[in-house]
Amino acid sequence: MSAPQRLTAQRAEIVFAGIVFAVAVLLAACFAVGGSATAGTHGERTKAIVSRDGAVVQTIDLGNTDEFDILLFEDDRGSNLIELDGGRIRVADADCPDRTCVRTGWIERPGQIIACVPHGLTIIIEREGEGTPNGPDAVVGAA
Amino acid sequence: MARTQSLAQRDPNATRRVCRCALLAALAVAVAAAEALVPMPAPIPGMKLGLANTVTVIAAFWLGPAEATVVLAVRILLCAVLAGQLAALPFSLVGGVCALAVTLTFVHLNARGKVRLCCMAAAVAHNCGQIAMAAILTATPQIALYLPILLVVGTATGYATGTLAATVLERLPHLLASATNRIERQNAEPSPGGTASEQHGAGACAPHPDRSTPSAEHPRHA
Repeated sequence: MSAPQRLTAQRAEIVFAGIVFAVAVLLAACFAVGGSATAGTHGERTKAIVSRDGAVVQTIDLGNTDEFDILLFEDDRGSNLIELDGGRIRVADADCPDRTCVRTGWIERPGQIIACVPHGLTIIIEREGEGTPNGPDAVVGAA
Repeated sequence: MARTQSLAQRDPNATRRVCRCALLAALAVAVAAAEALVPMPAPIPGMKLGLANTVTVIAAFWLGPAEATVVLAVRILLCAVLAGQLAALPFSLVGGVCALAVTLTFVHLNARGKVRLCCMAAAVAHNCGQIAMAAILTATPQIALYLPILLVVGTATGYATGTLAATVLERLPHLLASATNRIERQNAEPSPGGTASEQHGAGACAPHPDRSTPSAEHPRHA
């Protein structure tokens, strides 16, 4: 490959990286703006919504900060052990291949999310009193 | 150099191509298995180095679209079965197909000098496809929250794997459709007549060493 070709290729790489970076920043900004409407502060009454394939499996009130619990969510794809500790929640253990959900750790603020993609399991924290955006429809669809 | 060659034209090298395709497929499975052992610094679904995609890109530029597709299919299916993780199959499949589509576009445009850019674009396409699939299958659009960081990480890992792929491609005996041309030119160069002993010595990987006159066998090179 000649020098000018290499230069052209490098320029194309820089342009590409720049565009992707710009799109990423733009997306992040959009999410931040959209999220600020639901983002809360500490001490707010929150709930965790556990969904499987978009259908709400269980809604856990995180307002009771003395509560400690361990819940097992299981299906043919595998199991996720969910730990509840005061106002926060995490996946304590799972048998999914990447264990991304376990490594996400504790979440406690509205808008935060844990996703175990291989098991189709998601945990989203919302403020108490908010509607579940994909709740009823998804339940009907799954049933 | 011809951009595309018909299957019949490539036929004289069929054995070699199948061998190389199989080698790359095996390499892809091994690399993917090794890659799965490497822990990722951040818990983000779908984040990975993408070393296995390097092999697909090499297959696409070195052998051709059909071979790259085979290498990708073998890798994804074998890895899912061997790891016993069929649940994760849709994600790797969609991501892999997105990356392959981008790679084949680059090959089609004959953008041999842009292998690194190709890897960067493929990585980004892989991430987009995977996140879209995850958002659809879990019916949780919030998973798209991971997209910005994945885009940036994908560009960076694509740069790294692209550098690797370009380096490997430079060192492979030949690229793309020039395959038979160059090898036979090299074989022929020492003495244009091409004696039988030279054919045996230089063409250890030639499909039929007893074909002493390649120009007669493949008139298109004349």
